[in-house]
Amino acid sequence: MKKTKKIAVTGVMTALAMVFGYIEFLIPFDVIGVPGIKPGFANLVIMAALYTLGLPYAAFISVFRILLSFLLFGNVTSLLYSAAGGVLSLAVMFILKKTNLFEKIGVSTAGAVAHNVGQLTVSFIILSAGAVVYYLPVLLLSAAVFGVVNGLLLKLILKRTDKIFKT
Amino acid sequence: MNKTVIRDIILVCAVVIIALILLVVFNINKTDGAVFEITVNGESYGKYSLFTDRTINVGGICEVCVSDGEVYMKSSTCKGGDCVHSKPISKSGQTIICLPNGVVIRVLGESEADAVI
Repeated sequence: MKKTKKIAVTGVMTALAMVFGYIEFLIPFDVIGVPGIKPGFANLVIMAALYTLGLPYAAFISVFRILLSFLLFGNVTSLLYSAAGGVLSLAVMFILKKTNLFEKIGVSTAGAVAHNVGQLTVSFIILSAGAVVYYLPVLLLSAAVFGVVNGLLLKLILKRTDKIFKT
Repeated sequence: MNKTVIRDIILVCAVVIIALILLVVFNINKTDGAVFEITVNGESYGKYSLFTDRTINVGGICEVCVSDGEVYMKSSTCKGGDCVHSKPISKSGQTIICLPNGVVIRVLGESEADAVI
């Protein structure tokens, strides 16, 4: 793929990641009385970029999604949470993908777990409350569920968009 | 089956098993609580009884309501409203957390429940 095309695709994917993030913000997934659980569809876009364009482009999309969401809808606290989750999950996904030990489902699940652990760590620091650790089991379960779902979706998406990224 | 697929399955199962173990560990010592504490950004705002029905205004940022031995977030100035959607709590160790405002409501265990307002 030409560099100019890569840059253009990155721009489009940044916009798409933002839209996914905003849709999740609009729909609360407060199943089983535990709020704050999100499917992480924005991460789908970042994973697609990681698999097709490479780490620098995926990092660009992740950073700009977080910065733009912060400028449009967020505050400093929300920026800290998304930055911690975003950076940690991308780092974990990149390393796991590099080892070639896992398929997309494993990479996606590990990324989801890393994202939740990152955010929980920030909330632990900000609130200085050990009580947040009680959310860990539910966050891990949701990471497992949505990690698998997103991994499967990623497989389908990469199959369908193969042509765009090949030429 | 491919080796990488098997590793994927192991990874997902490991996450689920760890979550379930933690869930059991956290729930094993749960008893009905009598006192809960409100903290704002890590500092204690006050300890209250679960058996006195009332609404507590926490510094104008949220309202905590006690009713029938349970406590819940009645209203909050935060954007998402996750705390308001949380289920009422009554067992020791249970929490309702409002991340944007830094407010934590936690039901205390017997050993911590002193000096109730």
